[in-house]
Amino acid sequence: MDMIKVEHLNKFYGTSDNIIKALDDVSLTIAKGQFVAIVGPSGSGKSSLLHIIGGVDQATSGKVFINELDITKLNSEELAILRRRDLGIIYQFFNLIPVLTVEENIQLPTLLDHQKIDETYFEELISLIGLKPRLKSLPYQLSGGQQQRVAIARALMNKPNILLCDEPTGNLDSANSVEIIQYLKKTNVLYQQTIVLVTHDEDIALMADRIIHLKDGKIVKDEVLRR
Amino acid sequence: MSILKRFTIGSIKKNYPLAFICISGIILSTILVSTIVILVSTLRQYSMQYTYDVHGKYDAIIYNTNLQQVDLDASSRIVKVNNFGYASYKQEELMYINVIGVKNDYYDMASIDLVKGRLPENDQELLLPMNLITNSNEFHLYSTVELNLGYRAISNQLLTPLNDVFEHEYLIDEQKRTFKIVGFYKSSDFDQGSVHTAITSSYDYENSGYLLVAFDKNINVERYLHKQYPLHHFYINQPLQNMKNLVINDRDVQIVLILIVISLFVVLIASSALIYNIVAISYSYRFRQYGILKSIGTTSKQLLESIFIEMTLYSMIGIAIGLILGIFITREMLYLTTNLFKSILHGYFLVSGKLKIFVSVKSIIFIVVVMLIVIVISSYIPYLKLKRSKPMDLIRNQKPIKIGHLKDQGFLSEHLGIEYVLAKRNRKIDTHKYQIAAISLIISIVLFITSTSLISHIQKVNTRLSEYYTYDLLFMSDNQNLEDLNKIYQQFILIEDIEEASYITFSFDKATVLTEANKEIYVYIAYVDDITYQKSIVANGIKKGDGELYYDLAESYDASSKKYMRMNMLKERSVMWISNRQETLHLNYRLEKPPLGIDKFVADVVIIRPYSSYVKHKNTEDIMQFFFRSSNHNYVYHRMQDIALDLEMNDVIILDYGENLDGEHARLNIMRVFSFVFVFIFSLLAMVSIFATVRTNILQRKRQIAMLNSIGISRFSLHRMLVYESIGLVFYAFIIGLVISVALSYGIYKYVYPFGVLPFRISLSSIILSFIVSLFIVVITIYYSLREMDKVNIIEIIKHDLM
Repeated sequence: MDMIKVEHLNKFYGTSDNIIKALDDVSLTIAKGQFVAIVGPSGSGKSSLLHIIGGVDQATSGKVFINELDITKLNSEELAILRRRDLGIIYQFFNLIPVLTVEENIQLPTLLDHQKIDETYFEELISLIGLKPRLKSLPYQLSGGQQQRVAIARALMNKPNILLCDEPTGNLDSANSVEIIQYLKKTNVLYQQTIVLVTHDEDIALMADRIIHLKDGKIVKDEVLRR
Repeated sequence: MSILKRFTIGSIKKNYPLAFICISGIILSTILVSTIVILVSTLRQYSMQYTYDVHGKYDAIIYNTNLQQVDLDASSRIVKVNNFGYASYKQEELMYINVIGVKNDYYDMASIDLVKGRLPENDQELLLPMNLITNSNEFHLYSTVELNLGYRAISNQLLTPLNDVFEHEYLIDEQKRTFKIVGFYKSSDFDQGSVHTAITSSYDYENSGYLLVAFDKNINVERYLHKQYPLHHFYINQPLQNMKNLVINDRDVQIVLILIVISLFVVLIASSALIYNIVAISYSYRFRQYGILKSIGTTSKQLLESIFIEMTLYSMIGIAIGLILGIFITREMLYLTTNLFKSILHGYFLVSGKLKIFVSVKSIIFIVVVMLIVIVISSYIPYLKLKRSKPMDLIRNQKPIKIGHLKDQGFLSEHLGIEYVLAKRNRKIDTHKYQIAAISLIISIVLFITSTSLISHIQKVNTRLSEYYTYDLLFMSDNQNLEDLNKIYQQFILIEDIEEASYITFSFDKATVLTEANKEIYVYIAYVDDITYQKSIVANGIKKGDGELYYDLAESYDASSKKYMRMNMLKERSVMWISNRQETLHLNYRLEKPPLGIDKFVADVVIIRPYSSYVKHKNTEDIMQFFFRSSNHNYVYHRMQDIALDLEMNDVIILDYGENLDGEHARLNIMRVFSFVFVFIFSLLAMVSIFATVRTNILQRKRQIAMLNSIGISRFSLHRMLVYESIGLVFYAFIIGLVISVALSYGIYKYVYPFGVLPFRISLSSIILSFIVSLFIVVITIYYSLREMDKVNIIEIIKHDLM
């Protein structure tokens, strides 16, 4: 079953005289539970593709299906609910809310949904990221690696079907980078989540099940490493 | 253009909404400052003109001197007056007429106000003061008068009009002169004692007489003259000196001035706070840029230069527009209130002429300087912060969060969700910015509640006051000759605009109430003209039988019910004995509606009888008074004065109570207009301030909003967060504003009404209204902010981070 399906996706910037094609007729499918890395040089369109899949940016044309739902037809409120419940997004710069504690940052998607916190799952998550002693700390009191672990936990809090990671290790040293990918792999196995990881680091990409190579907005190579 | 200038202008262009807000703040502040300053200068100019009109333009009169003896400042103006001498005119007490000869320049300098007739054209004609008519029956228009003129002296010393009349004084060099009386003028200030000044036209100045001097420089006239001419006598035009030196003795004017000074102070504080807030916001929005500039070696001086360019631009635009609008608003306010002002001032000055806006170069310079000081101080403080910050702190542009900010686990946090927690913490972190926005709101709330409470209080006092008067004009005279009184009354009632008239002769007596254990009370017996008496019987629905009509007027304030209660001095059907009259009175009919002329100021109990039954008793000093209710009390008042003058009726008193009430109403309306305008402008200031704060917070929190967006916050939740932030601001400002308002209103109440005519009360409706208005301001701000927030693009922010 395809968790993500992209059909003839185009994303153009600029005017007709000076048009920049960030994505040029991209089509792909990603199966449920697959861990996919998207690689490519700077400006190849990998982040644009991830943002459009995540519903935080709009395509010029084409369709994106998440779990068979065409998200290009959703309005901003429906997209917000989709992001809150079905998607988890992790950024390079962690993007934690500075005024909230580690605990509150992790619980934020559930709190915004006005749902009760699943304490057992929450305990499980914080054990997974190993930040139990820092729950009451504020983001600025944590190291970069710790902050990214909080961001992963926050992305997982609502048990999303898909985890979208935009250069999650771009701001970390190699030891922390490997550690973060290990966490992602662990959640992939544990919760059967589909993970799409954008990176320019070939070594990181090799840890995924499949690597999609982008160049000038087109898929130039799609290789499956393991099933 | 230098790189720094390019950077500054580029920043202004990029942040044009902030520039717009900053200029708006300067405009509003300038409007407020200029309104107050121009108003003060207009009223001062008006009062000055009034003083010139009524008291004259001269600073002093130097008596018994000549031009050779004086050596005054070259810039001074001098008017020469011939002294023809004095003539005594009243036998029973020694009083003098001092005849002076003048040229036309005297009339302007002394502000002679002709009441009747014309000015003298030669030295055979005489203009007399009105005081002479009221003091004597000897002087009539166009009649001739023979005066035995000489110079007052005592022990070979010449006296001046300032000297009291001495028992042993005498006249020297007497000679007879005959004059034709051609006019009467309103008596001057220097003409109030035993010596009255009569004016003739003189063309033969003999270098001796009086000199009226006006100094162009603002000096202490009395001290100067005493020092220069210790042997001369002077009359100092004190009202003019008081006006020039801003000596204010009138309590009401003092109150107005204190309120103006307080308003100016509050305006300056609010303006400084607003401009400081906007400038601080403007800087903080560019902290990152300033940080980068500093990190690449820009000096503090260069930063200051950049800020100076920006603030000079804003000041030039803001002050110029604010000044023009301020002049326009003041002009319109004066146009709306000019008649009202005149009614108020009428109590102190018999004002003529229009109250026109007066904008002097001095006041414009004052406004500009004040505004520049405010702007410089307001923009220098944020600059100091910028100067002291390290480049990296500015680049990070992130405030350290204290653990104390997190203590918010309460009822509201539990029930209003994460949006409330976020709003509360954001507000706590930006307390400083919110406090400044709150100050503007607090000032608006305080001004609104205090002014409306004061207005409502004055209104209640006025209503109470108007209840006391059943009439608006009262006439009485020392002349109690019935024939004369009847003659003048018959002419009075023919004056158009008189709606109702009555005459009453009051007789005051002590009575013993036989039916109440012989208690003694004071009563008035009012002999009301028969027509009014009959009207009163009909109006009160009385079927008259035996017994007296009475009105039991006394009232007292009952603290428990907070109301004025009729004391009802007498029980129903009392019987009283008046020993002076040897009469027993049966008080059978109590009036609820008194006849015209009987009011609550008269006495405890008034017995009302028809005038036809009037008999004068011994040991009573009965006085007849006339009462009128009119549709135009001003006109009737002046007509009555003219009639009294024509009939040459002396020693009359005409009291215009309508004028007093008009004055009170005018005071109220002026307060309404001014408080409305001020509250409106302050509310605008508050709005601008809140706009600036909320908008900048949103701009600065774009990243936070983008983060929340990316993890799926709904638009509704974002709006809720902002609404909670704004409501928190209003609530905070409202509570503080309310406390200050109550304290301030009470202080003003105690100062204005030290004896508490009515109990202190704060206007509940104004409290509710101010809360609603505050919410309204915030709702508008929220609406605007939501629009701004909806523009926040997640991708833009994320890209910005990557850059």
